[in-house]
Amino acid sequence: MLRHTFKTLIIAILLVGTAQAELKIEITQGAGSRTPVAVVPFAWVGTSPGMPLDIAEVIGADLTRSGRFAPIPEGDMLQKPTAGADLDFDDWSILGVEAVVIGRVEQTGANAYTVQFQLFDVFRRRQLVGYRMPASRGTMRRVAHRTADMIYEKLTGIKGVFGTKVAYVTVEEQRDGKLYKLVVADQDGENEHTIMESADPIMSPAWSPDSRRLAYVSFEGSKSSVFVQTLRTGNRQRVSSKPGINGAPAFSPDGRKLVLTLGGIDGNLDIHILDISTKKTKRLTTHRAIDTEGSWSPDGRFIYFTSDRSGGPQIYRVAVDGGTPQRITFEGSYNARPRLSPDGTRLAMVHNDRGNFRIAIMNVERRDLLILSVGRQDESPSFAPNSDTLIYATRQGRNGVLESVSADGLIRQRLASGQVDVREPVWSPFPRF
Amino acid sequence: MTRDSYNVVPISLALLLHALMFAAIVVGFDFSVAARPLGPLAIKATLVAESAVTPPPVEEQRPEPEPLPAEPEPDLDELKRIAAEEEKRRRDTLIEQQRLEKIRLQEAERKRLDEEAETERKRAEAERVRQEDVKRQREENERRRRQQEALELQDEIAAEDERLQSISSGEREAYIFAIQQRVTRSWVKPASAQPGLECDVRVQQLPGGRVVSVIILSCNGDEAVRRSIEAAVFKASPLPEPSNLNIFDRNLMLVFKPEQ
Amino acid sequence: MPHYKLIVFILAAVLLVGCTGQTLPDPDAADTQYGGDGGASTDTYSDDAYGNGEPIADPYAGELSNIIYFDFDSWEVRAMDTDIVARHAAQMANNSRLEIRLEGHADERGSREYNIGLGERRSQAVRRLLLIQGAAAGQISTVSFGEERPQAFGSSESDYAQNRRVEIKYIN
Repeated sequence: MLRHTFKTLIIAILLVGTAQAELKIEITQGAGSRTPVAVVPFAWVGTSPGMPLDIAEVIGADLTRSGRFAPIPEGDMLQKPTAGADLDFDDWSILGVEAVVIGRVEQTGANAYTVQFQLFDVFRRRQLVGYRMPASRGTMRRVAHRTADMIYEKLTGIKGVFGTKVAYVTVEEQRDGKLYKLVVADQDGENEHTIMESADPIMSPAWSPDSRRLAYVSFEGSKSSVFVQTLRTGNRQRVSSKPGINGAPAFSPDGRKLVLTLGGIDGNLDIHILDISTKKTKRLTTHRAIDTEGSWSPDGRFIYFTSDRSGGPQIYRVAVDGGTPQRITFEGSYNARPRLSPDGTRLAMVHNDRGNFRIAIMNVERRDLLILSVGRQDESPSFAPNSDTLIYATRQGRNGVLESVSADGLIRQRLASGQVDVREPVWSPFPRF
Repeated sequence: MTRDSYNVVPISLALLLHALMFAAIVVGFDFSVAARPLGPLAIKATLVAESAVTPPPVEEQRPEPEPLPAEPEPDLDELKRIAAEEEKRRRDTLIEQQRLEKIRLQEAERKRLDEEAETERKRAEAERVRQEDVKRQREENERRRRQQEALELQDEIAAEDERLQSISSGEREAYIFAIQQRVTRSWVKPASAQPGLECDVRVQQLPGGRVVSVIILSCNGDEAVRRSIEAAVFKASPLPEPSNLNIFDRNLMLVFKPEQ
Repeated sequence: MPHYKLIVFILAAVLLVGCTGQTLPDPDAADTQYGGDGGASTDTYSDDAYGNGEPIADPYAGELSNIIYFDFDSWEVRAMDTDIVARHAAQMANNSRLEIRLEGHADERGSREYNIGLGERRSQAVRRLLLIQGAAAGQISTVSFGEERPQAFGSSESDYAQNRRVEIKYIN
């Protein structure tokens, strides 16, 4: 009895000893920037020789473009399973791949398909997510983006934005002058649609919260007016064309109002709120200075705007109900075009960084400024709906091109740049399915 | 099982151990001999003597009292008188003799008793001395045993110190750094990781560095963070080996705590 | 001894003031970084001209310019251009059927909608001058194109200088 107790005691002491001797190692950063994954080509079950769209390729391109993933080349794959049961996890862990996407496309009718995919965790050896979705030739690309969104969310913990769109303005030189176009495209640049074109400048596109309408400024007739255009029908409505400047529209979170800038005959630019259905306007600022570029806080309570009432342009905010504007930015001589992240935590702006105009974001609570871009003439920052990435315009030679940058500044990507001058990108809200 | 309830066992066991050790010391050495072989010479000698601790049976040499001589009979008249006188003289002599003898005997008895008392006193004294010796020896044993234990403990501490010293003189740091670098390289911190993230992870490795298990003990990150951490450690397998095998530990504690 | 101290103090103070005078940031210093010397137009006009008075040009002599240029971050009509504005004002005052549109422009630097504001300020500056000099309010409309319609497409200061302008357009 005594000896038994003694033994127990000694074992207990040994255990405690082991726990203390255990090596403790702190990991204070993740040096890897891209998660290695594999997107195996999907199986095709159908009558035609190939599937209407290479889904795996679209998914791989989405993941790559996000800057957070490094899909391995098809040639490196030791196996190309298309069913979960065929997956050999060891084969993938040898390659250092953390997750594998497999799937198949099956034709079920003349223009009817079923797309299914599964995402597997290589080290835990289990499925992370799997779905089967109906598709047609017309919707197949959207289905591929949705698939990429689900994969992205599982692996990064934040919502994917592959199913979103971007609106922007292009300018082309033509024989008899310039041609301005307002374009809407998938966020990967596919499916470009010109929704409006004009020989006069088009400016400041803004998405409605339901992604169905765009507000913008058009100078047709050499006069600025604000229009709201419904994308599906192409119908547009001139919502503001008062004497002087009509500019800088932005939708309220409920989609019923616009904040905009009106200049009047005397050219004193001030922030106004326009009720889209009643056309009634309410003036929010009265200062002699330039007050412009208003945008709503996501909770709908404040308007953030640019004002040079202190000399140079700085960012202020004013309650939607009115009141005295409060200055928000103090760092630097030039801060303009405020845009709050959809989660309300960060404020993006154009900031003059020692002579270069760059995109910066400020943490709304801590007030610290982080410069995200490296160009000389960067402008029009716009948050992705997941608040994690921004899109903006920069210069490449004489042309404007689009870039995206993660809100932590670590991942910057130049988006496909054509020969046209591209400017003023605005990221759509999440699509509503 | 919570930490608090976990402590109850070792504490009560420790208390029990103390009680047991005390009991072992008081009750006898048999157990302690078994538990811990004692040192040389003095201790062994004492142990032998210890078996004679019970006082040796001292013989009580108390002689039987000697039987006294019988009384003589008297003569007729003269004869009777002479005889009587003779008898009387003889008797007197005898009585005297007897008296002397008695005195002598008494003297002898007294002397014997004295001697006996002396012997007894000496024996008692010897016993007392011996008892004291035993006691002293016991104390000495105990002291030596304690000293021995202290020495052994010191040796153990010294050995551990040496091990730690050989490690902390660079090798341990180098090992930790190598693992840190390897895991850092393979970790892609997911976008959902918030400032203040802290995850404690227990990693079990085999000699050679192959990771056999990754257990996230506590973590304020989401599922994507947990998955990324597990993947990072497995991707880092096999972990680097230490230059000094003393440092190798099957169990590693990794703390993922990104600086913001 | 105290005298020395005083002298040293005064010297230090003088030096300090001198230094401050030299190093005080010019409010426009940050601006000059973008483009260098600020363009040829700013150099041709010296302070002496103010002292000597301004020559008044014959409003009917030569071809009348329709473009007024501006300095960086400025919406004041330069003295050398006031006669151009004056001749337009005279024309409009003489013929009330004339109508003009003032088109303000900015260089490309900074934010687009803010630049619309800067262009509008320039239009308004010209408008006020015209009104003072006899034009009627009903004859003038203003618009600002900001940086949307540059005259020069480069990114040098001389390109920028050509783009900071107000164009006077007769629409009737």
